[in-house]
Amino acid sequence: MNPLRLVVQPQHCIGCRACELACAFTHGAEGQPGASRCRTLTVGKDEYVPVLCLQCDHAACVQSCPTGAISQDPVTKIVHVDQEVCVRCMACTVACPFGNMHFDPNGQFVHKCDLCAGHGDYPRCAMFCPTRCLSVERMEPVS
Amino acid sequence: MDTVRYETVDAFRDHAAALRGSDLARRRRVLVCCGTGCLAGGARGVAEAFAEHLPDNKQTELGLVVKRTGCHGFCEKGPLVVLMPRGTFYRGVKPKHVPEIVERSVVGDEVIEELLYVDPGTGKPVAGYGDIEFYAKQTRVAMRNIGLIDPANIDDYMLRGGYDALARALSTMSPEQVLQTIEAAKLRGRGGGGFDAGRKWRSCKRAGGDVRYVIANGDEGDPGAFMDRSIMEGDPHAVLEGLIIGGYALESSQGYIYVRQEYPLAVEHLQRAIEDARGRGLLGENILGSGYSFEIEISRGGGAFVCGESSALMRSVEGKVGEPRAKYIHATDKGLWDRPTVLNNVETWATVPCIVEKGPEWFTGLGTERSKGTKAFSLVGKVKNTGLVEVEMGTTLRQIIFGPGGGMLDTGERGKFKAVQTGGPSGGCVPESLLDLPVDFDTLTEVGSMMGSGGMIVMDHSTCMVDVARYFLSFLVDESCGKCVPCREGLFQMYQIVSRICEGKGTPADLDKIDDLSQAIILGSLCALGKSGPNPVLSTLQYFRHEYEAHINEKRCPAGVCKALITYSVVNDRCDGCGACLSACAVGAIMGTPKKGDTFKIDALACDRCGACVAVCKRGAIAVA
Amino acid sequence: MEQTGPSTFYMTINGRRVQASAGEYVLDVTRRNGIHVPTLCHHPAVEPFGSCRLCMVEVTKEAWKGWKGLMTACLYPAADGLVIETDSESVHRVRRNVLDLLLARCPDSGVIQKLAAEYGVTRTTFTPRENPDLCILCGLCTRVCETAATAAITTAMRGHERVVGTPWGGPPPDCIGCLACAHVCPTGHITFEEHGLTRSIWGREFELERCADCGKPLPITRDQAAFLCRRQEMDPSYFSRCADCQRKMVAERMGRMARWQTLGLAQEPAERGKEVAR
Repeated sequence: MNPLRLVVQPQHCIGCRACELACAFTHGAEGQPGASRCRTLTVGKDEYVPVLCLQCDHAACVQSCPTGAISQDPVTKIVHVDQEVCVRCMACTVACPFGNMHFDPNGQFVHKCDLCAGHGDYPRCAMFCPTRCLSVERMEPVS
Repeated sequence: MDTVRYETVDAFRDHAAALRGSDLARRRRVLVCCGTGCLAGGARGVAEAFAEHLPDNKQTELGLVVKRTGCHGFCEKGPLVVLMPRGTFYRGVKPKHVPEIVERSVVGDEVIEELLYVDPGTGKPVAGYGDIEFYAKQTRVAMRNIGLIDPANIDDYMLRGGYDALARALSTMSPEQVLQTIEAAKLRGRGGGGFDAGRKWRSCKRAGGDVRYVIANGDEGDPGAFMDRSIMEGDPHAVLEGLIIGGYALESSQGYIYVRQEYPLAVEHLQRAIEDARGRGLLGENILGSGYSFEIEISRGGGAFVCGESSALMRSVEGKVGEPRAKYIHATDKGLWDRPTVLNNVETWATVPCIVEKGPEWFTGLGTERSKGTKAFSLVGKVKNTGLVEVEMGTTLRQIIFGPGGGMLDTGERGKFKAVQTGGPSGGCVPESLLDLPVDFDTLTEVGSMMGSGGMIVMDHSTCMVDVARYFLSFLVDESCGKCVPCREGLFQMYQIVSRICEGKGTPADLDKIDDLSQAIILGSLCALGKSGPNPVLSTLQYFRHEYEAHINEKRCPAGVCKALITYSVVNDRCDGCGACLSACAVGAIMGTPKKGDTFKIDALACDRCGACVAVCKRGAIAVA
Repeated sequence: MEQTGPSTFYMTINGRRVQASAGEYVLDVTRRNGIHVPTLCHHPAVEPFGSCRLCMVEVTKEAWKGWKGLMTACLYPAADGLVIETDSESVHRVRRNVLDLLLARCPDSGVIQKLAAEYGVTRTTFTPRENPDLCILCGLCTRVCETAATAAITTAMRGHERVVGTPWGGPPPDCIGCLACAHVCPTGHITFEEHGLTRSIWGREFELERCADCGKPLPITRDQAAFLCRRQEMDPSYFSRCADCQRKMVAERMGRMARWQTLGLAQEPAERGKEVAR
């Protein structure tokens, strides 16, 4: 199976926030939009942009982590936080240039979009997006 | 300034032969013991007096040399002066005796009776070194040179055969052959673990990589042990030679000698020996032209008993805090700076040259089946002759204590033998019933004690065994590194329990608690300090349980030691009212009318049981119950 | 170091056959297989230490001919053919005593009380410490500070006097206020406070970084930002804005690009106009 890529086409976003709800439910936060790893922002009249982790190849969060808790999976290309190693220093939440690392104050942990790895392995936000603003592609396999 | 340097083995051998055949070798020797014990007794003054009365030209004229040597071992009787080759042995020498010694025994041929050692058994003075039981009953291997050489003089060491073993190893043996020699000798480490040195060396050799280290453990932290000190102070070259040979066998190019902070004289003598050996080409680049290079560095401790533990020692050498680490990965695989390392005790290294020179069969011919060779013991406590004793493995405790030891110090019921503590704070007590135990690594372990580094503390009936256990526990609590819970908290709590027993607050349940806690500490501790920590308590419980029970059930200390459980009282029909006790008492607990013996009394509540009154009373009128 | 033997192999834990790899510790294997072994001084962010002794397990091997040893799982290397018991009588004796001893040291710690109760200890049978705090001397704080921060705190003194301390007992000069120590402390002994722009811990006060755009405090201190730039080799601009502002910025940029997409343009209209004018 080739690794997945989430494609975002903001011109199709209608600001319904179904993606946020889907994300929050998938990751077990019972629908609190604040717990979603996808945040849809309003940037103009009828203009919306869903912002979520770009799974950077040279991620700022990875480089900023003093314990090496964040790493990119070489096969899936997903950037992942090892919660057991993380010491909650918050460097990554500041370092991400796109603001995609979030801190959950209830559970006291950092989280980010993980393309629903371990929760069905298929991005739920894309499944629920009514306009296909969020869609999934298979990438070329890693050589 | 030493200008001799041996570029080849032959050059060394030629010089050694010349030395040994020279006039210097044939001269009479006046040996002034300057080991730490004798120095404390004023030996420096004695040595200076000899320097004054026997300056160099006079020495040459008389055909003798005056040497300041290391510790003879007979520390009780110092300062010591020995005249060789006759072997005249003078004890308790003071600077004022020196002119007479020079006139009568050095220039003249007489023996000064007043300075001779008196045999406690026969009551007669003994003139000769060889006739003194303390020395006659010893087999000195590791301590072979101490007391007979000037440790700061490398020629002295060579005169006694020093560095022959190194020359032999470098010229006629491969590193593998040297290793096989040590394996064949079945040399077990003298530091306490008793692990087979050959096996340790072999594991290190097998570990990969091209950097290996050898270390001499000179931390010697056991209270009452000073064997390693006298070797480092009195025969430093023996340690160096052993290390260089070991380095050669293991193909290591760097050795370390770790000396505890409290041994500055040892550091001084070792440093001097290293410089001299380096100057001669016996250490450093291309030793004796063999192509083998080896360096030795001295690393000093910071004053922690735990740094005698090998992994803690290595951390200390690395400049870190001396804390042990798990031994699941052996030091022979990853030790100092994560390189394969062999660590052995100073006494072990000092034995190596003998084995290489005389062959492994000579060594295995000494000792018992499972423990070959000899062992140096520091015999202290309630014996007449305290000091260092080296005997063959298999010698019995009775032979050691009543032979070279001279028997018990005090007379009467209280002076009788009660127990001997072996192995320091990691060891245990051996009672009278086991006095005929042949001493070796395994026999002592089998009876609940251990050889340890060789400490032997003899106790009589004035010793309380519960107090002994408490003392060793307090030592370990102080010295624990504190990293692991069982040792740090467990030994501390065990100390609380035993202290309460000494204070008369113990309960029968305490003995069960000690058992359970001991097992947890032994199983759970990270290093040997913790693991062996309960030993003094367990062994005293094993052989002297009745004493613990007396403390707990009867609130009584049979030995009359535990302050909370004893009372001092005046035996009025013996008292003559002299009032000496009243004056001696620092807390004013004694009252009485002068000259009226029947009025004297001790206030038990005010009395702090210091014993000053007992010490001053000439009538024996103070009783301790 | 030479590693003999296969690189993956099998061990037996509590009668179950499990796979393990060279370089792992027994504790890694138990965790991976859902086998519970209690720990207090273990944390994946730092090297194992072996100080609490709770993860003790009974180990044997055929070559040992029946001899069993108690080893700490966190530091014992996984090896081919190991047979491990995680709940034998000896193991429980050690754990029970360790927890009993820790309860004497920290009688008020909820974490220790709970763990001790699991081994049948509801009150300590030893002499409790006077004026106890919650520090069990697991060393996690000092180790994480050394690994992930500036080694500002360390252990001082020896044996029963051992404490987690700072240079000369004062506020640690090297502390950056990252709170890693507080977050790894298993008993909650290390506390901190945050009010407005200030964070205080270990007797020191730190100023929180502020967002260059909106001025709100960031969740890292200024010292921490400087440290991260140095240590992680990153430009200070990475640590100068809050996540909300970053997100807004990225959303606006993406929004603009989406607008061009909708208009069928290759780039921003104003720019295009300039091109034409030239």
